[in-house]
Amino acid sequence: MNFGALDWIIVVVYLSITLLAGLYGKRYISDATDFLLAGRHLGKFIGIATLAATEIGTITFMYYAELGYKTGFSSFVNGLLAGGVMIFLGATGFMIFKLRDLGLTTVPEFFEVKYSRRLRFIAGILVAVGGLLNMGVFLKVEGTFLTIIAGLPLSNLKWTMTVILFLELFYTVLGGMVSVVITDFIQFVMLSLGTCLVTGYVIWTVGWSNMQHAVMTNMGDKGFNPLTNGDYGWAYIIFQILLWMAVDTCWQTTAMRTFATKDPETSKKVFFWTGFIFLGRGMMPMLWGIGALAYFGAGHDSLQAMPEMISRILPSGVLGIVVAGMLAATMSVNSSYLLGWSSVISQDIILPLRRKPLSQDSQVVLNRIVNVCVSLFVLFWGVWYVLPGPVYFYLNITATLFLAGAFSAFIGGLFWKRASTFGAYCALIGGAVGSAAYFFSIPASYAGMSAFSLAAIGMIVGSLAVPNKSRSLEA
Amino acid sequence: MGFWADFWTLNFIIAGSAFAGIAAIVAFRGVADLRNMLADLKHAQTVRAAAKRSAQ
Repeated sequence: MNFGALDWIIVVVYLSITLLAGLYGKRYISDATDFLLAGRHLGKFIGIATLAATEIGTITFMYYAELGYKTGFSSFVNGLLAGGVMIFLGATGFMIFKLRDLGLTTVPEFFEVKYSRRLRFIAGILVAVGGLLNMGVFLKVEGTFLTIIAGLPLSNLKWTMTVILFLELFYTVLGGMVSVVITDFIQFVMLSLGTCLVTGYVIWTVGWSNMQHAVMTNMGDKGFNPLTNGDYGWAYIIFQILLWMAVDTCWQTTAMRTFATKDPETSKKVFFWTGFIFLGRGMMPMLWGIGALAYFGAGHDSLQAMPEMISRILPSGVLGIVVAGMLAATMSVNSSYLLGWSSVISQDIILPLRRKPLSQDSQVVLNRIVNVCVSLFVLFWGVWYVLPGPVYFYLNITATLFLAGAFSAFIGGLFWKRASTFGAYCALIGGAVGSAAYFFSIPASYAGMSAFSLAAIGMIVGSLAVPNKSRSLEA
Repeated sequence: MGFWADFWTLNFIIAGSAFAGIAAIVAFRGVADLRNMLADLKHAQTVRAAAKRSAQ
């Protein structure tokens, strides 16, 4: 174990800088739009930094490394699809241009603009449930990584989880999106440095040809060809393309970055360039997992193999930088998710229930209270819930719970004049029912495909069967 | 293994280079962007405060 005093000093200095920067953001908050969307002042470069930092967490490194350990180079297909879809959206502006143009604050708000106020409320509940279940496992997985790599006994996991949570909660509650963007920038720089360092060390220490040999020995051809690998195949590829289109457009934390950019052109540029980062975001940690397979051999705990390898191959000093980078990744994701789901609960569930609108100041206070409640839920869910399979598939399906239906309703609302409120209800129900199949032992790819298919059928059939006079978006 | 091994190797080189290159550019140019964002927020705050005062 190489984690020494120098590493602890690097980590503590980094954490102090992040907390001070987060607190600094508080002075720029004067209303709910500043708190939730940083006043819609995001430029291209800071937009790339905050979008990338939001979607690159220790959880990302862990689940991608687990896929690399279990499915070899075939897992790279996940990185290729995630990055490819985002580059496509950025290049064409498909959906994101129109969504930014609408000036929304949250994803469920779209349902009120296009369909009805009641549907916004129901969409808000689905977004919150799917989002909280999704985020619920973050702390445990991230805590496992940091506990192992810092050389602490796993019995300290709960304390690691609690410390991570309170650190990010502290500045998110006070400074909202402004603090999140400032800290995201610092965290993006740190996590990029950490990612490149680990990748370089893994290739240098384990060797590219040794990794190829290990995959060939343990998995044969299916370790390279995703079309013959039982975990992937065509159904999975189509599901992933749909899922990533939905994540990039309808997922609250991603959409908040679209809504927060200066204008629609800036959001296109942000997506295009972040797409290239997403290629590396996927493939680099998958390579670490493959490196762990070559280093330890098969039969190791698939989730713990990568951090154990890193803690052994990185020298002291470098390990401190990497842990600071991973902490950065953890905090940037969690703070953004915390803000994202809290904003949905406050803006789309609690506020519509009130007859009298809240003042701007009271809305900020409400958001802060919800932030704390969401944090407590995440902490307890992380401690008690046992994952039914690989982390990546669990995250896919909990996201699909809302995304499948929302994606159909968004496409219908943006591009189809006959899209109706009833059709949107059917899409949301169809998507939720289809994805729930995963929890009844249906493989993730089939559950995901059925969710998107049922949602699309529900949208089309429901709209044709019960049409309404939908309000024009241009009006 | 032949085709797919080469395919993923090429993909990895592109992905790794793009990640490192874009991260470096964003790290340098993002500072100015961040300053602009904070200046815009400050300006909006001042305008709002002035409007509030004149309304009173």
